[in-house]
Amino acid sequence: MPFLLAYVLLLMVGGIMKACRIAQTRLLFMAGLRMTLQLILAGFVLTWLFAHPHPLLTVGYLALMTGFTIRTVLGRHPQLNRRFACCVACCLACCGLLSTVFFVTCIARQNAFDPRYVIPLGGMLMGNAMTGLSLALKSFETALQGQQARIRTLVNLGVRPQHILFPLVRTALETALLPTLNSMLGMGIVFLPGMMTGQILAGADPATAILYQGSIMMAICATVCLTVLSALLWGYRSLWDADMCIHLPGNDRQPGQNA
Amino acid sequence: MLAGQEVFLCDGSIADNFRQFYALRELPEPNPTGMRRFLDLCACPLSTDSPCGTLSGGERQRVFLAVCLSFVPRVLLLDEPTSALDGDTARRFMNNLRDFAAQHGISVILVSHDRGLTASFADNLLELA
Repeated sequence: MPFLLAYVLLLMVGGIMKACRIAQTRLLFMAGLRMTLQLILAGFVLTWLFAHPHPLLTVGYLALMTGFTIRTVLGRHPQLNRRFACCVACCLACCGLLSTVFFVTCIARQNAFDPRYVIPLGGMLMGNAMTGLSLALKSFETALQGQQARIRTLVNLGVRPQHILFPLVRTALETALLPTLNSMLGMGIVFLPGMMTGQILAGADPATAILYQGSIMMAICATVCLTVLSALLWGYRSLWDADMCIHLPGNDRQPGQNA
Repeated sequence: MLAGQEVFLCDGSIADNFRQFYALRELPEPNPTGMRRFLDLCACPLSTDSPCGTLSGGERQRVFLAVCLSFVPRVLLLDEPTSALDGDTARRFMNNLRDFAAQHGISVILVSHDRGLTASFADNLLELA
């Protein structure tokens, strides 16, 4: 019951937003309600799953999680062409699942189908890969729109599309990695991360919590980096055709064409 | 190769722009004498060290055309290449361009609204109503 008091903080934020006429008040309460329902549901499902562990159920949960992350990323970037979207989905699924399996079997040294390890660790890695990829795609699309004059000029001068677009991929990767790198810099001094705090509050030895937290942060960094780099490096090739003409997402006018 | 109306130059000096465009086309870096030659060809007396950020519209257009011409393409499409130039500079540029194209066997297809210019320099003229 005392945990319900945390919702007073949400009401307080809602009150401030309403007083300042910030348009997202409704979204705040919707997000709060949705989060609560999702967590309650996840709590029931996980309790049942941990009591009845089965490889198929673990794989099914992971598949559901992967599907949701792919849907979220693609839903935020509807302008991506079909091939680019497929690249994004494949890279997110492969990198997220491979790093989860690697972390669980090689670092935590547990059974790859143990739901108690696979589901929370997979969720952290997948969630961060999803956020990183969303940021990277946003940065990439913004750069594509903002640098149309540069792209058009270079296409007209016969520069290969790889050379025109690769700097944008590099910038997108930097954007995606920045939040993870920033949190790694401040970790332990400015704040104790959620997973470590949770473990300590649950009675785990801080040394064990630190070991897990350090290694999960490195795994998150590697997963974000691999997911973003592979998705963009594979996906950006879908932006030009055999005639080396670049097709910008959501733009009918080609960079190789002048008005 | 198409040199459109829209001029795009990178930050840095004129020489930096030559270098960057050449690097993007995976070609060896041009020497300063070569850059000077193409700037003169485009009636652009500026130093190769001049920063592109401070150039006027006409100067930017000539620097961009100098870079394009330095690649010596087989076919060069020019869209209003003299739109930002005064009459004298435009004529000087067009004279140099015609001589250079003849020397190097470059076919130039030029779009212009300046009937006087096209009448003086075009071998074949196609008027669009």
